[in-house]
Amino acid sequence: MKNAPHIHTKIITSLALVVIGLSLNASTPNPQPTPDLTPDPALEAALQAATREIGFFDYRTAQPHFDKALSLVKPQSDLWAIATYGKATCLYHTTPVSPHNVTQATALYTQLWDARPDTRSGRLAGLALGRIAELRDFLADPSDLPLARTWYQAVIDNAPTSPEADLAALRLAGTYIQTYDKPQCLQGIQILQNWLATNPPDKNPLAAGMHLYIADTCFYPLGNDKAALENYLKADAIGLPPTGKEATLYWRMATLADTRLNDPKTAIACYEKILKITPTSGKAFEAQQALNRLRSLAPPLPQAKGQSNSAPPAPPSSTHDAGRPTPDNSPPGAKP
Amino acid sequence: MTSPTPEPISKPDAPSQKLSRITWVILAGVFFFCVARVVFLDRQISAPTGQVIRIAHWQLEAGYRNSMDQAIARYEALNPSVKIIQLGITEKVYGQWLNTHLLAGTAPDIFEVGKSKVLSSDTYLPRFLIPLSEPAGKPNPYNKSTPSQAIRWRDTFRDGMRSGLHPVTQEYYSAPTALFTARIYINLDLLKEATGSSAPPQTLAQLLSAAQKLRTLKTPLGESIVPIAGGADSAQIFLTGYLIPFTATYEPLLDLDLDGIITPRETFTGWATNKISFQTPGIADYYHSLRAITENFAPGFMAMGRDQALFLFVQGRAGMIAAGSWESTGLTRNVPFPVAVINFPLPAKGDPYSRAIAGNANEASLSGGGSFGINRSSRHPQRALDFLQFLTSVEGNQLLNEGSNWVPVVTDSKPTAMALPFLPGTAGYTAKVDMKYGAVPSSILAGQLWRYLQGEVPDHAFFSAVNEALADPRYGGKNAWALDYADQIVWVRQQERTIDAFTLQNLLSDTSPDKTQRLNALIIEQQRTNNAQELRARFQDTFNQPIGQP
Repeated sequence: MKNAPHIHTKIITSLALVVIGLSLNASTPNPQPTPDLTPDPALEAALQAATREIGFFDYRTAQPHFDKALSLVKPQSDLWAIATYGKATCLYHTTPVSPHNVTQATALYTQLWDARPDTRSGRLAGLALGRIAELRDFLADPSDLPLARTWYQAVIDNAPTSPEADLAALRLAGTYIQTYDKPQCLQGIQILQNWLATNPPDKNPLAAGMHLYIADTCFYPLGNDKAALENYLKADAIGLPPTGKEATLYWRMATLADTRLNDPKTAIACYEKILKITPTSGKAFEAQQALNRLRSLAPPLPQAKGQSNSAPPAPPSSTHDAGRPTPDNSPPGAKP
Repeated sequence: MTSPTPEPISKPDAPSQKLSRITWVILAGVFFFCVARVVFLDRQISAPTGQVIRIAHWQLEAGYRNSMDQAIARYEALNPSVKIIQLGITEKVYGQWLNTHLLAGTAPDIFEVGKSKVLSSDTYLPRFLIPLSEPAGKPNPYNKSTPSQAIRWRDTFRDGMRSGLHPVTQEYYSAPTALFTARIYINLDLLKEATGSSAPPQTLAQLLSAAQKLRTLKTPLGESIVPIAGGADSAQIFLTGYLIPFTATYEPLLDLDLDGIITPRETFTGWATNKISFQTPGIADYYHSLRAITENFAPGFMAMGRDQALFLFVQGRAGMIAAGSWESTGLTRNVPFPVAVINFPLPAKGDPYSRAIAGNANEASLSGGGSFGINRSSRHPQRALDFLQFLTSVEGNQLLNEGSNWVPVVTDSKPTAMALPFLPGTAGYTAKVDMKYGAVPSSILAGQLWRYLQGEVPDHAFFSAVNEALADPRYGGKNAWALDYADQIVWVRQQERTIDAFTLQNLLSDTSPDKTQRLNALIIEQQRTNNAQELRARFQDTFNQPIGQP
């Protein structure tokens, strides 16, 4: 009986040692980031100041705040990733854009991508490296499309279901389409179509834009009006991006359907959208003229019981009430 | 007896001493008055109870400030603890005045946006103006009990508030308060005297005929009546007023990307591929008809300023004038003769210059003017917003435009009877053929056009000069295209700054779904330009040569 506590203690101690030993020997392929647990007022202040300056597009003034933040965060932590991305972006966009700054930004983005590709900041860094390769950042800066493609693909492969991957897919397709070489244009379209097939609109906020981009490419340089119209209609069904230029798109769709594809039904639908959604675009009158023409050519619709064929609507009058948007919060009239 | 001690002669005060005493008194009085005024105004602005809002603008046209006073009085009646102070600053100094106060942090709470170099910068504008996007997406509280009560504030404007939308940041920064159009004003007394009828001309031929007859009249002092009062401003109004009616017909021929607009580059493409020229009926008729119109201006009209032309009309020495709706009160109410206001009459079928007339210009897409923004440094930004929303409510916008007889920009606000002729016409076309493409060809066209319109050179000399400029290998249309290409490459890079700013904000703080949607829209818009490569490709397709090579 005298030895029992001693034996129990030994057992417990041995078990504890085993547990400790196991935990020490455990291999972790990706070291878990050390969370920044304690809110640091100075860090918060630095990031808030940076946010404010970024809101004014003042990258030059924002950069010291990111420097300050970097001095306060733990290396390779989540906040380190954000601050590094912020500093790199400030370097990249401080005007005038210089080769020196772009080189420094590239180094920081690369460091971030290598250290934390699992974070949003890391993926954005990968995208930024693609953009640096693709864009002409200063006079005589060449565009390196193959390098850009490598980065975009890397972002896609790294996190295929992330929002950054949607953007990477768009940019990747763009590196082919912008050559205006027809086979490469088709290759770019294929990338987008494959992406849309596996990333439908409810998961891909860029879906409508991708359809627009496919449509533009089919229109020119491929000269495939049918495919162009199909994709414009798909984009519209999802919801056109609010650029204020919706009227020009509807006009293009209507004209394609009306004058090139002999598709009066679609043309009527698109002209009607100009009247309903973009009444102050300046094309409402011409859209109404086209509707009058098309409706006068169309065979009468079969009448349902109790209904009569409605007369074509009168052209908009030139009073001050004409063209007011309907009270369903449709987008305002677009700039022509 | 000794002579009495002469009294010391007292010299009268020297004039300079008297003057200096009066001067000192006046100076002291002025000084204390100024101090009292500053203290009084400062107390007013910093009053612990009540708020003072200052609103500044450059609209010194007849009737506007009275209208603003009426709108202010109504707002103050609804909000008794608020005082609004109107500041009308002449447009000659408005820009410098505003720049100085913005940089000093002393600008008014609300100010008319424009004429300021500071506000034209994408970097500075967000620093000085409060974004209005959030309230723009909700109903205007001052539209309760009106048909607009459930409509988003921005949708209550005739232009959808797009005049206040900043293209780079995609935020609304200002709200327009009026719409402006241009028309022809006619002195009906002179018209009747010249033609026997006070019925305004319905066609261009009738207008030219009336102008011819007006030439025969003389003023009581024996001066010849000028048929059409015109300076450079007025001539430009005719140029703008007739461009669409004469050339919209060519949209199907020239609009390559089917967006409903003929861009200057598309016009140049049409010219370069011989689809159009100065002999094309609509284009030739446009310039020839303008010459016929300017033949009725005073000789040397290009030297005449806007005010001179206006005076000529209001003094009864000119029969007609083309001017903006902002001049309406001065040109219709403050004159001793009846005035008719008409839109630009077009050639009737079969008349001279009628070969390619499409129809009137569509004014539905006009952007609002008289836009006001809210100073970021305002002590009372919520109150400033409240007043701005009142000014752009159905009631407020009507009040604001009543005295000046301007066209209200809020759709449900009723215009005055005098403003009715200026309501934007929505039955018309939008495309136009503008032969200005490239800095040098545009400059040559403008210069030669004025010479042609003043009768200094014949039409063929004008056309040849422009053709030569467009064809010039160094600075003609092809060079302009190459510059457009270079500019668009720069634009793409600038867009990247904006996109990354939005992305970084998104990363640093929670942003609304609306902002995310706008960010995606910016990305798509940038992507669709294909890094300017469409311009390069289209150039190659059109001219079968690489862009940028002579």
